[in-house]
Amino acid sequence: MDSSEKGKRDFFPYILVGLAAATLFFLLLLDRRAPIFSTPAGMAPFFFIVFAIALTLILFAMRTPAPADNIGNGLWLKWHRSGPIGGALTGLIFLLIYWAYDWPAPNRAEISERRVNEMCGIHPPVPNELIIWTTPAPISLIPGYMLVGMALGTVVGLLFPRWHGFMLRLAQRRPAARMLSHPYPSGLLFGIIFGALIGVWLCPIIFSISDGRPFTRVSTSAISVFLAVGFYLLFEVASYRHRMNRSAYLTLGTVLSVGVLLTGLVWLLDAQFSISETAYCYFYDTWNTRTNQLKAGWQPAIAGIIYGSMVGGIVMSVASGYLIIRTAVAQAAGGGLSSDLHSTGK
Amino acid sequence: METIDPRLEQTLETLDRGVLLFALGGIVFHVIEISLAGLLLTAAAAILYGLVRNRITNLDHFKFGSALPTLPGVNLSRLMLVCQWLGNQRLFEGLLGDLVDPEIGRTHTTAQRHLREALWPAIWNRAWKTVLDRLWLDRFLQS
Repeated sequence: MDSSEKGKRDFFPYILVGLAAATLFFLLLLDRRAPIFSTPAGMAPFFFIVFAIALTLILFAMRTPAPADNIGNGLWLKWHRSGPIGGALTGLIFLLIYWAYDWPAPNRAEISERRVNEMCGIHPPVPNELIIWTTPAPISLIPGYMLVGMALGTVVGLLFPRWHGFMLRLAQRRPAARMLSHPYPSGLLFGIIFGALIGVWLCPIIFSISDGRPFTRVSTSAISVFLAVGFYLLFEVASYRHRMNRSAYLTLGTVLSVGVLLTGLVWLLDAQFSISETAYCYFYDTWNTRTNQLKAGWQPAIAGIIYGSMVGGIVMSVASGYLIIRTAVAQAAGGGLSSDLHSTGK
Repeated sequence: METIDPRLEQTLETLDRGVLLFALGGIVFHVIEISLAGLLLTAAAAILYGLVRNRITNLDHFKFGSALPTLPGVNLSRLMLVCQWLGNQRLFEGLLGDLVDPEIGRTHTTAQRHLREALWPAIWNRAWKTVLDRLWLDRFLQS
């Protein structure tokens, strides 16, 4: 590559990820007050054309040398920064999807206190004056979501490497636990345990704020996490497309397919068995509407543990796939980062 | 950048046909459903696809050995972009020749009028030919 190309920015990843983000966002907007397309079938042509644009970009980007830009040798999101930055961005994406998918709209039955009597079949019904009818402005939630995301990302970024190192040492000592040394089961177990711990603390706090916001569905969490991690993956893979080998693409395809299937499964189960509504009613049952406080006892904690471990499991199962891809990309790039990723226990 | 191989060209033509059929279907559907937003968005996406596809494909077919002349009142790089998008180097060279003519390139207004008169029919002709060709109706292009 000649010197004139040095320092030139490669805009392809931004275009591709922006295109994918905009397209998926339209999909979620469909369910809102004023759908852009008259029916879901009506948006199929638009999707096809957008994916055709992305395909054209990919086809030609593969043929052209990527200009050297200031990303340097490492991956875009450095390992030590990926926790808080990734967490804050995930918080923002989470809020965006939450607003697009769960927020009250005339054609949507949101899960909130406004519908608690019909949804949970409470007898005697909660009187109108005890129900919060107003909804907060979504923009006012941005700092909270980003800060909570940053805090959770930092916790995961600091603790997961130690956890994974512990799992590796455990696998060396006990052959029966060898399966847990792989990033995926290790990440999943971490997600379930730490999700439960975080959930027991965070869920009652979030629920007790009770400012009229709707309840985040489990499917919304799954979609948000999948999209957030999927965008980082796409971004890094697009940035390092010339270093990707066949096995890295295969891993990417597998991780994305597993992500889509898991998200689809969570979505289906949530819709089919009304998991989110049941969870909300369970939470609401732990709430004393007369004193506006959580009831005493273990019930709120158990609800937090269940919900936190569920969301933690979803988050870490996708995030582990992200780590596997990073390793694959780093190995394809010449192993420059693999030591960084495997030094998680240090 | 190397030249496009025939297999890739064939793939892109198939993709063009798919986009065109989906765009026409989407537009018809949204007209029936009276959804202006959906109609506009589908049309905009199809136009964007056309622009991206043509621009990228024609990058290879447009090379100049010498530096471009400077003409008063005409942005040659913009003109080149349009001609590059049309994939027509001869049109660019012809227009450049016309603009050097003192009668046409004398003032900004006459130059712009000449460009408008030449470029709009060329764009329309190109779009029409592409649509007919992608819909397997290229026999009508002969007449």
